[in-house]
Amino acid sequence: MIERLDALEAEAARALEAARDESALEEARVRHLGRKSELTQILRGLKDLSAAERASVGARANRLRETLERFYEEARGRLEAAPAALARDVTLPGRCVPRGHEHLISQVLGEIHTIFLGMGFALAEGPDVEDDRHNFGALNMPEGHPARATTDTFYLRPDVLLRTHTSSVQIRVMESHKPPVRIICPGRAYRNEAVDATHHFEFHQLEGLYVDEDVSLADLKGTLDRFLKEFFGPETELRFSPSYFPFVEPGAQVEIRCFFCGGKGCSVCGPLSGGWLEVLGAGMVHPNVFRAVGYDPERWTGFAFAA
Amino acid sequence: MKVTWGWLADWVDLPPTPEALAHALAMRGFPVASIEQRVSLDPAIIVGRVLEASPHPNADRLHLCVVDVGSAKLSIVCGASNVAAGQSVAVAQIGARLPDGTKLRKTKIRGVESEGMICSERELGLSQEAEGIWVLPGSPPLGSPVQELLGAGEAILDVEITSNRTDCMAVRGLAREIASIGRGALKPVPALRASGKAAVPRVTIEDAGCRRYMARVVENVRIAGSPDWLRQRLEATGSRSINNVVDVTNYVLRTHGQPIHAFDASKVGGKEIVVRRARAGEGLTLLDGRKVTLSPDVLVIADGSRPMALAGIMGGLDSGVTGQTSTVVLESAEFSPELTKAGSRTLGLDTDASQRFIQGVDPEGVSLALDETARLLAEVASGVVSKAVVDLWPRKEPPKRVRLRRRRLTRLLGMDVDPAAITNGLMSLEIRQTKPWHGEDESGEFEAPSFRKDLGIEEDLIEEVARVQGYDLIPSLVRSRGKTDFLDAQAPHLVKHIVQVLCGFGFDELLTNALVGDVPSEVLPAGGEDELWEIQNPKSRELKHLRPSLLPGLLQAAARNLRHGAHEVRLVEAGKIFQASPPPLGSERREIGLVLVGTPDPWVQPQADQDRYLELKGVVESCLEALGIDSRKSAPYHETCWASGAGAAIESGRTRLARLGQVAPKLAAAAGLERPAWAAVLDFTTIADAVPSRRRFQPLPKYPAVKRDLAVLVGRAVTHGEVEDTIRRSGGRLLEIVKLFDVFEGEQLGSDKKSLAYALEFRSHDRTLQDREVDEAVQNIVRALGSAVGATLRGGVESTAAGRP
Repeated sequence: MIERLDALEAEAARALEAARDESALEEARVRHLGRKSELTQILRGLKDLSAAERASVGARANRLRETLERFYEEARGRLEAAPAALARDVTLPGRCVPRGHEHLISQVLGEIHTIFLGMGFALAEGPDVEDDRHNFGALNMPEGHPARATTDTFYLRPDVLLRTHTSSVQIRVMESHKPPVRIICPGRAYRNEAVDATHHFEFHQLEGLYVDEDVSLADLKGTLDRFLKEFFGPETELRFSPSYFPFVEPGAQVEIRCFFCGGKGCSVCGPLSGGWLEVLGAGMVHPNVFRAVGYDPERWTGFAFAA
Repeated sequence: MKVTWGWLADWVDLPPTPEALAHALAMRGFPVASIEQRVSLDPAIIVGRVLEASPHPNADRLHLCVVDVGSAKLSIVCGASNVAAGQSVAVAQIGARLPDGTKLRKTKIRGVESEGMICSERELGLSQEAEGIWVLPGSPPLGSPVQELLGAGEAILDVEITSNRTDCMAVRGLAREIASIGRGALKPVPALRASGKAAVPRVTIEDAGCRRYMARVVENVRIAGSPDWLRQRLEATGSRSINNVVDVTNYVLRTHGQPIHAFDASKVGGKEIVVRRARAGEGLTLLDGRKVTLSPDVLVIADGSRPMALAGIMGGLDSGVTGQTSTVVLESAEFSPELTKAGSRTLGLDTDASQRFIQGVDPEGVSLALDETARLLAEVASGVVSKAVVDLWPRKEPPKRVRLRRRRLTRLLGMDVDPAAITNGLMSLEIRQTKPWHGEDESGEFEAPSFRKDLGIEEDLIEEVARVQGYDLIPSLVRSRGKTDFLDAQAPHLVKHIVQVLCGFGFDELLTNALVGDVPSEVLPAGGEDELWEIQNPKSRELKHLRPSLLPGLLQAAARNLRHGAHEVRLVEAGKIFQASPPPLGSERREIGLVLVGTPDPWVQPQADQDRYLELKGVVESCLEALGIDSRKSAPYHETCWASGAGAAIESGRTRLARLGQVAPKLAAAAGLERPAWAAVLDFTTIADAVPSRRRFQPLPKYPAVKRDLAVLVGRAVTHGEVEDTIRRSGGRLLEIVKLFDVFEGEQLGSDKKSLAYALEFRSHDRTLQDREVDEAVQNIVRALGSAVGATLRGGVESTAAGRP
């Protein structure tokens, strides 16, 4: 009898183990643990056995029953844990309108805003259609100034033009606000120029202006250094050198080490520039500009920059 | 400005390499845009040594040479008489390309094969005159490219000079700046040997427009071509060589920045030169053959009887130098910038000379330039320079003196510079200190040299100090400061937010030009063409107006995308539109334009409507919703840009927030779109006003809503808007939500009827509603609908399960 029970154990264990789905498992359970199973028959027949036999066979049969029940539960657990056959093709693409994108210029301007707003600058705006005074006169470019001849201006009327730079916004802001002023002004500017990789008749500029009682070239350098390092990355190398714009004195040009070639010289930065890319024009606000807007140039100093 | 390395090197010791010079100049504010070799030789033109040169067996004048080029010994036929064994020569190998473009092939010359060519300087583009082959000096390594022998002397630098530094727009001026960067002194001008006895014409200055006038005579001038060095330098700077006299005057202009004019002495009538205003009606034939009639606005150089030249602008033909000229009168002068500019503008003449005088020449440099011209004419045209010289300087301006406060310098630069360093630094630029440092703010006084027209105020000197110190020495300061009172312009933030919301609905942002060509009549402003800004000096016909609408640009972009294979295009642009009134600057408004065109993606929208109006409207409504603008309605809106009867406006109260509809087919077609397109225009200003400044929290409702579905039969012309309005008006304060869920038109309703079905929700915030209250409200609604829009109830009112929304 004991041998028979051992054989039963092996057989049932195999059947339970082999069940690959719910129905196969149920079939195995009915056959080996069900009311009509051989094990149940044996357990029922225990009462007909001798006391000695009853004790040993009974213990063995009950242990077998527990074992098989455990096997059954384990097999069921295994089946439940295993995924069912695919109810649907879950790999089909989702249905959603693909998201749109902000224009690159908008994205870049957004980054720039964030950096300057963090440095305490505020946003200011001005009109694209300007008068002579705001675009030239008040910016130390009186009638006949040579710099006017080099700027190809679009005129709408003899005295009305499309701003050639966002510097006009400096004037508008200083006319309507007392110092201190710390602003950036993004916007379009227009010049009658041939289009190439770095020129367009209609382009986006960013102007900056900071006027207070003791703003210096060192502040300009520090501000632009921080901005450029945040924008282009902390390893960005900068170079400040003298330059000329009528509305600043001293004037400066800001270059960064070309990030295309790493400073070896390439088609972007030019073979000779030593890998320097011009990114900004800047300088200390010219006293004539302060006079034009009614600021006292002895009291206030300021820097301006444009990219 | 273009200049050759050798030309600069005449005046100042240069750094060892062009790159080092470029860096030094850049740090002084003179970036070097390029350095090119004047001649660039094919690397296959190499150094060889002639081992043998024996007569050609079949020709008297040819030589048969054996040339060692290091890697091989070539057999070359050479026609030059000066070839000889032992010479180092330039060998163009088979396959090499000569500067004139010809490619060398293996050929037989009089029956003997030649494996290359021994080149002359002319063939290498190095000279116009050299005879025979070029015998290389020294013993350069065999086989090395000849280009390497040319060296830096031939390099052409293109230096960017800012418009304030007119003094550096001449080679010697730039050399002076280089000298100040610690490269020693400017080299002196070679001595002039004047021995001639000829008299100089008598000069009279009758007008204040002439500040200084100098003249000298050079006799026995032989007019001829210029020597190579002169021709090459002029050609390197982009000017054409004409003859030795003209070339010398051009060369002096480029070297010293001083325009020089040469008259044929035999044409100066009465041996007299008068600088005066032209008389009205006087005529003059210019050097370029043009005849001009003059007026007293113009300054002329006249002889005893007639004008010979336009002062500072252009010479006359009759008094000019010709092939027969043997004695020249040289003029070096300073004319007033204002008068030169007026004359140049009146006559429409813009010349090298007039540009220099308008910028202002160095009055002190007038005599040096004159002497240099004379010296060079002696050198290149074998002229004899007269001893006599005329120098009239009636308007000699005193030097400019500028006060410089050290304290202000420190404040402006953010850097403390030692007084001695300031003095010495400025001195290196020939800016002399005329009063010592004194006073509380440590003032000094400095005198600007006559060639520095740009130094007029204290800040100019401060920049000079910074330049000499080096901008890289200025500290980099970041200070933390409080905010100013200045408030951020909000518009850019809100525009960005709106664009980002629309990007979420699948719209791609684009930026199109504000400058446009012809404007379709459908988008003209209400005032018509007169309201259109027109550029007076447009770049082209396509860029002559400021856009009055975003639609054409968006539609064109959409058409372009469809042509490139896109199935569906959703675009958004936020930008300014322009109108010419009111004066003076007209008006600029921001709008946000949307365009939707093409076929919906069959996967994303399987049952999409071909008519996409509602889809676009949904986007606009959701966008307004996202901005917190809840209260709004739409109504038909007529505008020429929409297809007939297919335009709508979305309003909040009495303000119009947006217009939208199907684009008028003609407008779409003008943009190259052959299929229906839908567009919307959001008015940024009214939207910005309608955006609530703060939003309120609303608690979840405590009591359930009671729902009723209501289907009404109305005439086809009745709009949902009218029905919804009526429902809301008559529904009482318990009516919370009115939602259309079906529109049905069918034959069984009759061709002039349609059915609109609404889900209504009623709710009280303080109790659970009784059916009776709701029924009463619904009855009111039905009655109101009947009288307001002639609606009849279709079927009964269905009550639907109550619950939270």
